[in-house]
Amino acid sequence: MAPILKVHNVTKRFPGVLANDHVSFSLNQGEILAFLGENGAGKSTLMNIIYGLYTPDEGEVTVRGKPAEINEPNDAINLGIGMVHQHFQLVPVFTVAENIVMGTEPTRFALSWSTLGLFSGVVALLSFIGSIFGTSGVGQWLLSALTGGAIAAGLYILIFLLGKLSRQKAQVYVPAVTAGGIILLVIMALTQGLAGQIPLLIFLALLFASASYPALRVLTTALDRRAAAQRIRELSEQYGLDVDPRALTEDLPVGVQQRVEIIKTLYRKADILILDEPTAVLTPQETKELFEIMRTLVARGKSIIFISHKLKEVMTFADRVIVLRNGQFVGETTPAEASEEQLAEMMVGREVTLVVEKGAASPGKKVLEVSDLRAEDIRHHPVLRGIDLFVRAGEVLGIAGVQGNGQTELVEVLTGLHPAASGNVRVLGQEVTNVPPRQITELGIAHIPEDRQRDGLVLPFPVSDNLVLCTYYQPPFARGARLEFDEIYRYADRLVEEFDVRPPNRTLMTESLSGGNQQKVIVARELSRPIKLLIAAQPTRGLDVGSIEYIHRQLIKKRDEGCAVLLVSVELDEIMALSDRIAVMYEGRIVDTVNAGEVTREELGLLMAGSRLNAEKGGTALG
Amino acid sequence: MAKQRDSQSFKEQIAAWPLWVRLVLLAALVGVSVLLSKWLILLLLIALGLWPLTLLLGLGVLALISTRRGGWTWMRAWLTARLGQLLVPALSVLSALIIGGLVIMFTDQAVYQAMGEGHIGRALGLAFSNVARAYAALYQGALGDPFSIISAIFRAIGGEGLRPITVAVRGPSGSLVQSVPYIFAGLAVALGFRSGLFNIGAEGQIGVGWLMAVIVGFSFTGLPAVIHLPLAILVGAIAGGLWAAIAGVLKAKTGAHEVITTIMLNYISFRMSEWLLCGPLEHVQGTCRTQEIAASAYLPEFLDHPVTIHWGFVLALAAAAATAWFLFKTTWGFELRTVGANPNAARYGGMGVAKNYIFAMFLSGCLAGLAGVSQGLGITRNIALGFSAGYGFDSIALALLGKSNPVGVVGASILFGVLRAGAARMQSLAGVPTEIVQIVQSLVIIFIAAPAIIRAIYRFRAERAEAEQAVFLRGWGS
Amino acid sequence: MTAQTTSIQTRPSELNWKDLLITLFILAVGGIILVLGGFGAQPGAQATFTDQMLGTLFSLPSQATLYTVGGLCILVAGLRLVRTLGSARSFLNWSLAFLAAFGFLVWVTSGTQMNFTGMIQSMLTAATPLTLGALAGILCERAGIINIAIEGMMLSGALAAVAFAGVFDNLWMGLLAASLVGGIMAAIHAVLSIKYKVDQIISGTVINILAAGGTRFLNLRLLEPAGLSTPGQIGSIRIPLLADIPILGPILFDNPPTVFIMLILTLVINYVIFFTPWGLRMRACGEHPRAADTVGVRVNRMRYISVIVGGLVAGIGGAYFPLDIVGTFEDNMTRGQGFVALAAMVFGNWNPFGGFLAALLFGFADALQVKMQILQPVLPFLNISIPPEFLQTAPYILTIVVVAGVVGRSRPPAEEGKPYEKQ
Repeated sequence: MAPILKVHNVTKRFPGVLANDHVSFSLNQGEILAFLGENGAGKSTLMNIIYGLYTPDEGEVTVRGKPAEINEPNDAINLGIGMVHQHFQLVPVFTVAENIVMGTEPTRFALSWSTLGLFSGVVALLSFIGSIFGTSGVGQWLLSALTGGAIAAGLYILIFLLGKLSRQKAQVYVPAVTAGGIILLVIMALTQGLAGQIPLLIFLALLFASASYPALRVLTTALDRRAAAQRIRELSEQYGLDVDPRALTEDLPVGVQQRVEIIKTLYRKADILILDEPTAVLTPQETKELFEIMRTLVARGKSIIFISHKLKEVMTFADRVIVLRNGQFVGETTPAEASEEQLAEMMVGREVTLVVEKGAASPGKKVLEVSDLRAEDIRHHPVLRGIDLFVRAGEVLGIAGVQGNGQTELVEVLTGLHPAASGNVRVLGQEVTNVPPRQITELGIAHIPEDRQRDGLVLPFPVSDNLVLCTYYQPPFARGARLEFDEIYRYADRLVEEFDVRPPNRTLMTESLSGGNQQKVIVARELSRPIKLLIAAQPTRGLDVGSIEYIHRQLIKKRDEGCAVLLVSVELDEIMALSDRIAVMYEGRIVDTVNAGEVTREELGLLMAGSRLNAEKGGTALG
Repeated sequence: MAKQRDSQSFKEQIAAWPLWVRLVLLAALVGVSVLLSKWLILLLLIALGLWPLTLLLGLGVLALISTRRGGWTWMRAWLTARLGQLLVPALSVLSALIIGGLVIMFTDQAVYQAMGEGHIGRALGLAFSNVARAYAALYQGALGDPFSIISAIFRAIGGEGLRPITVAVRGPSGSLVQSVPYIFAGLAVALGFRSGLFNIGAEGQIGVGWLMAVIVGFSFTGLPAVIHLPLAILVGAIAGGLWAAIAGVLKAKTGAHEVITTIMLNYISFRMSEWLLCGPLEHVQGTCRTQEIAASAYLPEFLDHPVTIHWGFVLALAAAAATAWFLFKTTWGFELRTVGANPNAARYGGMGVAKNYIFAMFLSGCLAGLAGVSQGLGITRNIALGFSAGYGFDSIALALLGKSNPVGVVGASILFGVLRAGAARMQSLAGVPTEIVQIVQSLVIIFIAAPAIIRAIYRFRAERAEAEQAVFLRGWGS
Repeated sequence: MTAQTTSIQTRPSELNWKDLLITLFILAVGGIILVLGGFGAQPGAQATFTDQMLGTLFSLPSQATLYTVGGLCILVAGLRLVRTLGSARSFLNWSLAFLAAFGFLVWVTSGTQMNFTGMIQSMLTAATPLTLGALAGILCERAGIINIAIEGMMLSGALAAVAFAGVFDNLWMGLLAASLVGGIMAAIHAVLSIKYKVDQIISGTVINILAAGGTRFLNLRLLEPAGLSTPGQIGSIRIPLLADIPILGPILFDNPPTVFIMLILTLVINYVIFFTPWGLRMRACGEHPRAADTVGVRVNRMRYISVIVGGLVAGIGGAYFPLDIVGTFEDNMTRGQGFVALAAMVFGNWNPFGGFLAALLFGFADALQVKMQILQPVLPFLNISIPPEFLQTAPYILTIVVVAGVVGRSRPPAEEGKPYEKQ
């Protein structure tokens, strides 16, 4: 069986980084091939090359045995390659149908006999009414109506014909219309004595013809929404992907949006589907459903590549696994032949302990207490529906859950960036609900934000400015309103060295630092103050393994120093490795809080999907 | 390193002296400057008029300093650094002027007439000579004639007094006078840019400041100048600030984009002033002008006419220094800049974004109001219809040219003042409408905002990414 | 994931200033109308509305009408405070707006008579440049390019109309030239924003400054000396039978060509944006350009075309000023109408019909202000007539209220203002 897709020696360079280094692989018809690698290994880049979003510096791609020139997505689509991106490429305000057909819209000719009749009829009626007030006699009125209707019909038919003509190529249209226009205008000019203006009129005719061609094409091509909806329903049934063509995309849950993305590829007759980190936003249950869909697709003759950094998924669902590291092809194997540890080693290049070194926790008194916390979003939909939790000094409470269940808002409410509708939050007994962020900082609470570039750093400013972002107004950094730069610089130099920020230069614009070093700046800033509570939201998102290990060590160190740590993460492995207790959030509520050592991954998965760990009869009730 | 040590020791030396000694020294310095102000200003004007000489002197001073700091290599490094920053702006202005010259050429009726008659050579010659005449007039009007300045100095030494010099430096004086409202307005817009706000309403704020200062000027009689003048200045500034703060409040509380609101406020202030000046405040029927302000509210002039430069110039420079100190050395300035660079991170850092928007607009409006104040109290001594002369829009170009940095703004303002003063003369001598300046300014903005064009024209590669991003702007309602 | 960046300004369950502003505004308007009714109008006075053809159309007791209208306004304001409106809100807002407009009309007319059809005609005419400007803005912004240069495009269009009408001795050439010049200015904006990724507000402002200075310069330097600056007005076109229909006829079918163009373009552009593939792709470029790119839509090319077509439309809007109204070119003749057109676009929620309705409202304020200068209604208590300058600020104040109260509620295209980069 010849491979349906072959990639040979593909190399891609970006300024400062070699994203793909002479990578070669092949995809067989009807198989599920997984690409494994950590962040920055080059998996997405490779797929974007296959899909035409990037052009490789070297190498070639062969599809169904024939070499392929893929310079833009359209080329890839024409070859039967479809891609579902990690961040969905769906327009929120469009309907499902509009999102699916955009780019290959079904159309119909906009002008029809029925509209002709309507248009002429209306004009005839208006002429009739008008003539009632102008002339007298029913005969006159009817005559006027007829004239009006006839003129309207004539105009409409003219546009109709021009529109039909514009269906031809421009090389036919423009000369035809120009010729017609010139003849008309010359007759007009001669009869009205404008002979001297003829060159100008010819120019105008040409201008009109060339301008009206694209305009007419656009105007006379209407979207055929019915045909689109029909085709979508067909595909929906055929592949078991249930979607409503008329639904608004932004109202749909994430799992359904993913189905829309898949149908997008199928609509364009894709045989090779590339899925980039498809399970990043799904619950374990939804992940299982997705892989069932993948099995259906494969059974119907499709071939699938999926990218993941989650070992367990790859082991469970792939037929074959290819590992990339630092842009290079490291190895190819199957789940049968390799173990998780071996795959992890291939991914990282050295022995990786999948467990963080940490001793037992010795929790003290309660530092953070949250009772019945409720909050709404901008559109007044509830996002927090009564959160109860507490964190003690010297322990790590991990908040697990799929993205979008209220964790982001919980962190924002706790740090004063989002108002709480009701309920209260207490830190060491002191009421801090709806207190402004500055006060939160002054109470000894540190916040590592989820979106470091948007919320945590001012990228155009130097590192030293960012290190005092929260404390610049306090002595010793400021005396009254004056900033004490000597103190600030000294502090910055110390922190840069202590936390190993590279390059170790506090005058650099923070923008020029790598993701890991930017996060280190934030960690340095937050962890160098005397703090009682540390709130870390997705602290290792998008970082390389070295930085991830570093940050994990810092978090545990703080815990051991007696700080209370609230960790929010969508990476279940991270939560399980670091937390002493785990609370699972689902749809704005804490489903359950358990001790980390006493729960399994599967149980957590169920909780994340909303089921309650119900003691009676092992039945699960949706919380 | 040697430099640091040197300046460190100098600063440390001064810092070591007790506070009262330093204050007395400062007061003495200020007092002497005020007493000698007439001479200092005269010297400044002569330096401006004889700018090649000044440049050489400057280089000489630089060479002197370099002997203590590392000699020729240090001097060369320092020069390349400074000039490197100035390269793109300078080329932008140059290119804009060249294109302006082309525009003048191509809109010359006489040239077309000559072409129509078939004398191509004569037409081209006419075109070039017209442009040359226009730009010569521009230079004359802006910087005077170096030779007459030198001869005037000799005549003054010879015993004719200061009169010949004041006549000779009329050009530079006009340039500096014209630059005063530009400095204020440019600072206003630059401050706005730094805070992430686009204050196009400088035009209206200037008007409001002008109006209120003049009203205070003629409403009180018998007040000593020490009270009257600062009062008028203060009222004018605060009026401008409040007018701008309306837009600030709207932006902070409702997210209304300040571009639209400030422009609307502009038009509202124009209509209102039309009503006031041709109605209740009209002094003489049919003139649409108020009465003159009391002498105690004058911004005093340094020298006699035709040199009209007044204390507003010093006020402007002081404002620039104050703005620089405020933006870069205080916590408030840090907050404003952070809000402008990243409002989300600013909120995270505990800064009140809404509060800072309002504060920034208020300060910006105060500065713009001061532009009107300086015109009203220093030049016109009243306010008449048609006072608005486009300073508001020009100041946008200024702020961009100066990269939203107070020092750059002062430099750019003097440049624009030069252009403006010259344009008036260009109109009277060469018949070119002063609006050519606005065309040149738009071109300058285009070239500054899209440096790639200049680089493409003059074919040089980009420097490493310019660290300062002069403007931080966002879209609708966000 | 389709994540929305949350605006840092509007936080829920904090006092919603936008709502408050609008509610207060409605309350104030209602209150003013009541006061005008109670003290401004004579008890027995009638407001009579006539028509050229039909004579007196209808006559209303001014006081009673004003009380009713004012009362309704206050009622709606009260309802808003209780927040029970939901989806009926939009309809309610529009009806309220036109009701209040009618209220002011009645007050101005009380005791005398007013040509109703003429009033609506003026309203439509005044709305023409605003609608055309709003349409131009919609085309640009829906594709993702912020356009505050409508003022500059209109002004340049006005000058071009005068210049070319003179050169070719044909007012229609002036109209065509106006459109083309508007397109050229838009092209400059497009190149700066798309190719050079200049901040779109700055590039828009540059166009405005260039237009302001350039038109004045060229007028003084070229047009006046050559005697070209007064081509005259283009006059109305009267469609023979249809214009005879009472009321509707003169309003819709007897207008200068720019008005007809405006009406046709509103329909056509609405159709194109929402019913054609081209419009679908254009909207995607404004909402989520990356999504469009991944299905093969050429985002930047689409943006170029939209902006330039928008400029063509804005240029026609600019031709309105000299060719329809004044007959000559005056400095700065657009007087901020370009920005009012922007407000109309925002008020109309980036929809052509919405923009048209909003423009009608602004046009009404303008037309009413002109009538008031003639009829000189007297303010109660003060017994003076309102100075014309005060009235002229009405459209500007209305713009501020709209922009402050409506933006954020109506949704601009999500990704506008950000240059698109293929990676």
